Amino acid sequence: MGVESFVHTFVYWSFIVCFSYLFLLYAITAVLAVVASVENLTRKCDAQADDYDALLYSRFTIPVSVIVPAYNEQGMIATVVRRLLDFEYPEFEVVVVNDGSTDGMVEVLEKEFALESIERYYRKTLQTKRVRAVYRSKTDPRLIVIDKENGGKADALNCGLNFSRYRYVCCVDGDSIYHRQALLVAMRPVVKDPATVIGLTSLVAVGRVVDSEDTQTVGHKEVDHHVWTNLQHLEILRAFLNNRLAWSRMQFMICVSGAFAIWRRDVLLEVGGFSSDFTCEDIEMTFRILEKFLRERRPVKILSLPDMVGTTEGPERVASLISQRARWQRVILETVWHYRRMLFNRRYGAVGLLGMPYLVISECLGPFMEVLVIVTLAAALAFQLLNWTEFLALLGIQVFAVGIMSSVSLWMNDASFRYYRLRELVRLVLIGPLDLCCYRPVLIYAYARGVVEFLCGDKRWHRFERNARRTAA
Amino acid sequence: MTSWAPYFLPLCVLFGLAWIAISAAVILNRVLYDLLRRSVRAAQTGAEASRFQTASRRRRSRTIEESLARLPRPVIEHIAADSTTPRWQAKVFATYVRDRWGSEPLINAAFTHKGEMEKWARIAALRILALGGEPIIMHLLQRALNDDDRDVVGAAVILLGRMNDPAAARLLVDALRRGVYTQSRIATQLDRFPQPVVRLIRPLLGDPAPVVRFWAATLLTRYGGGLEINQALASLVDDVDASVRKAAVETLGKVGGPYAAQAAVDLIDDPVWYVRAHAARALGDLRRADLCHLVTPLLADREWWVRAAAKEALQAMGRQVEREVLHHLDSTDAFARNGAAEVLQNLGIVDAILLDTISDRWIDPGRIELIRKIMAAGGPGLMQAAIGRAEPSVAPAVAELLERAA
Repeated sequence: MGVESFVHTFVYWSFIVCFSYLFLLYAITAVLAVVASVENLTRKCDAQADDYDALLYSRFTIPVSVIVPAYNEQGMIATVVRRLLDFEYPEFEVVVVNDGSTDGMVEVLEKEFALESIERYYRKTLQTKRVRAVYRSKTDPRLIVIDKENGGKADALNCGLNFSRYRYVCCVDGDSIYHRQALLVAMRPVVKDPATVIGLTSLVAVGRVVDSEDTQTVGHKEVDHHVWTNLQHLEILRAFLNNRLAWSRMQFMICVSGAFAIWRRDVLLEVGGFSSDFTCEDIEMTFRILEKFLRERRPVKILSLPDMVGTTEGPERVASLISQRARWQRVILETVWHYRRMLFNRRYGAVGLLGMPYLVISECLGPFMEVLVIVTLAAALAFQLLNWTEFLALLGIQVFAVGIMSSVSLWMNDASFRYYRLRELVRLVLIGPLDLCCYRPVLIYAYARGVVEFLCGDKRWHRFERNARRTAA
Repeated sequence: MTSWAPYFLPLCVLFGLAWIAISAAVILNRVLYDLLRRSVRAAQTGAEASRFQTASRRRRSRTIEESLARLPRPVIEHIAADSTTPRWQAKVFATYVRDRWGSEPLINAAFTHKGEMEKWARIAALRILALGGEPIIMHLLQRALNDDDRDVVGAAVILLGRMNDPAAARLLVDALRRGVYTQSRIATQLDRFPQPVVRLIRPLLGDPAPVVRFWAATLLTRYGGGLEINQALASLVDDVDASVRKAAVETLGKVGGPYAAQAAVDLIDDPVWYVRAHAARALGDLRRADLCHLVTPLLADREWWVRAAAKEALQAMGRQVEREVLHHLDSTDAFARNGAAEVLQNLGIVDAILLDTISDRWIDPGRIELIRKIMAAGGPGLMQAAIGRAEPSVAPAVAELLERAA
């Protein structure tokens, strides 16, 4: 067998593997999209039938502790906390944890909210880095600020848990702006079934600069006129609406997003709090809880909602995006590897039989297969196994497949909430197919880097430079 | 590969057409929605205008009819059934639906359902009928309360809570007793019920199920001022179920009355921790500083929540508790010492002592001893915080004083 014959055989089989994988993924995505549409409709009908007034004014609505871990968020923190204190919810507290910031974040909070230092003897249920000082606000008794030594996001969240008073905690990011009704909307399913709903997340949009006033006016929301951010926003929409809504309905919600995560406090304490052994804490915590509850055959419900509860800052620089996505890829691999015993294990129900295999196929194998697709297509073109028309047709299939997924998620979002102006909606629809040309190659590189970092045992956070701060500078 | 090649282009075209079709549907759906929204706004404006018109009823209903006639039936029903529509407006739309198309189809839809879509149509029909004041609605809601589907039961609970009818309250109380739905949600509706429901709730205090007695005791907060209710709640301090005892003392703490303080005193050393915590809070709510000596021992309770409740209660009682709390700075229990120092800090007593001492020309050794005691009880964090709280002009003097006391 000559070299040419060998290459032909390799490319032929590689081609079959790649495109079988891609079409399998498209088929799974199509099924998930159908399930997600049903869930989206159900949630919409459920919201329309609910009594928001009763929830808002009732003394029986479950109170919530909002925990905000923050590191060097001097530029954003005052706005973020102001918006959190503005939540429409009967009873809540805001616990800001300064994770050893090196900028003037605490001073900003001190000035903005008239903080005064106090000593509070709290329960040290979870071990954390040393607390340096505790502050309370003279203007708003619901606010407490904790200044601690740097220990990472998981450590800061654990510290917040030690100080929080209420039965449910809502973990949010210190760089995201949340809508006034976020807590009210998100706590609805919890209040209906507090015995089994122990975790919940909801859609957090991606913006370039998030501290603008206009964040949630139905029919008037604008998107940043920045293709890079739009593509990130579409990706988040696809992840939340096409995937997580379906996972939620099929009872394998395997990732409660760290940007907005509601948890039952006693459950977090029972599993030992957030772990600093992983790159990020959110997906690992979801897995740890599911693993424990399903193993012990206890009722557990973790939900994802379609409502947009806030906006987070998406990196506008390619290097920042790569760093962020490599970290996400790393934590997925770390978690899947750590909980590999759940894979195809019937004891873990839908999580073991559907959720884990899906994660392995789409997230773990994804980077390898995407690189293989590129190599195979290039080789096929080089060895004239494909002509240019066929090559472009294959690329076109992938371009439109992503476009279809984006349009479906936009449809779900718009039909339920009508957030955007019409022209913004058209813009997002048209940008959808650009993903493969402008965005996907960067992501493929980021995922590949994430795989390498995982294999090297890298667990650093790789924080990206804030867009707003750069603009202000 | 060559055998598949002819399919690539048609497949690409197929995917492209699918994208165009779905994208066009998204945009078209939105354009139609925006057009419809204009008509809906006009109809809503018409309805609003008719609300304030002084014209005759007939003329007003004609104005509404003219506004709504342009809208398709599903849209009108959708607006009427949406809980976010203002109630008066939803009522206008619901009445219009009933008058124009009759109640029959809605009653049929509200009677039963098969499948997900019919379920939501049933819930919408129930809401429209409830708003339209249909006589059969109570029967339909009773039926819905007994349905197997939680969403239908939940919707019935919400609708019953909005009805200004004693029969609706009776159904809700019955649902609470039977536990057909999350009881806190039923209790929420009863707590906000437009009419007094005390006569329906009072008998539940003797219900054999502890959870029902718990909710009855909790719901009586609204009506607890009367002597009879006060007495009935106080009698629950001997209940076998801890959650009932807790609810009774919590309610008594909020409503007050002649039996409230005694009930709290009786439960302050209850074997169950959350009852002790609520007994302490009740004394705090009642501002019974004269009874603070019963609360201060809880600063050394083995349960963290009880210690926290004791601190909150003492703070609620105000600065009159100072003398009693100061005694606990010498406690053999570290939690009690910490707790006492924290209460003194939160009541502003620590700051007052420090400021008084530095403003005096002659420093009283007794005061220095007291500061030393507070420092020992509260630890360095408490004193650091005190320096942090002090005005910049006096902060160095405070720091110097603390150093001297140390």
